[in-house]
Amino acid sequence: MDGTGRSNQRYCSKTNIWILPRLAIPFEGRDGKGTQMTVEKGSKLARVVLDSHGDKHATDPKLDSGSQKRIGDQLRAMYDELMQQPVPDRFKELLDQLDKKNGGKEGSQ
Amino acid sequence: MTPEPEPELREALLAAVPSLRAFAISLSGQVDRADDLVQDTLLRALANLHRFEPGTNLNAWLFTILRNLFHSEYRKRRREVEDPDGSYAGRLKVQPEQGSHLDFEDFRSALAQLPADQREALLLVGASGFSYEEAAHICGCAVGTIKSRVNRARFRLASLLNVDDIEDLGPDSMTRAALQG
Repeated sequence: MDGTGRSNQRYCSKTNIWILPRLAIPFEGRDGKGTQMTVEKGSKLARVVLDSHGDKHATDPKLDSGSQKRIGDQLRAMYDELMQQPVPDRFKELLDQLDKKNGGKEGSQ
Repeated sequence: MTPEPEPELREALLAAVPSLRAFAISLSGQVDRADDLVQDTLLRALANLHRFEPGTNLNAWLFTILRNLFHSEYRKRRREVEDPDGSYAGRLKVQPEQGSHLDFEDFRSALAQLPADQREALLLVGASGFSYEEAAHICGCAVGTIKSRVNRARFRLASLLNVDDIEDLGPDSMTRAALQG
């Protein structure tokens, strides 16, 4: 019985038990990069909730909803500020020039 | 006689510039470089207009071009910019006393520390308004890969920014998070 299907396990003779290779869950993405993320106990890092959807990425770290919302709000606020910046003249000029140049060859059908 | 330019296309390209710039600035972290990227994107788009299928999403097409330009340029100067496996971000200590107040500088610097693939996935889905499917198309990868990258990006940002919801601790918040997926 022993020895079959246990290639990843080690036997500890002191305690007479089989030791599983790792207890930490590695977060492996489909790009094959096995990023091992751990959350330090007692630190103020955001908490991880394991995705319970049972899909291929079930072991990806997942933020609690509150943290996720704050990240999202912050991201959109930063982005909106960028979106509201005036378009630099160089782009208008560029498109004007190209319109003139391209107009003859590739004009509307 | 002056040939008539295509005003609709010109307007559409011009209308796309603010979102292209926002994406490029957030992606590259540098306004000058971002504007060069946007300019190259417009030039390439105009040179390849015959490849654009009318009726499809012009913005997604432009984002694809910009993203590809960014990566080909990025590969050339990888060392000066990034941290492909995020080891720097991992070493960075989270500063105390910042949990409740975040400003854009903190946010931008945290964003800059993400691996490029995670950053772009988060920007496309979380800020530029693309669906996971569109983002996957833009990045040339599977939808599941985008979802995974977005999750990792959020997770890492939260760690870097010390985002925490102390009042949310407890099984209820875990249930809520699981339900929200």
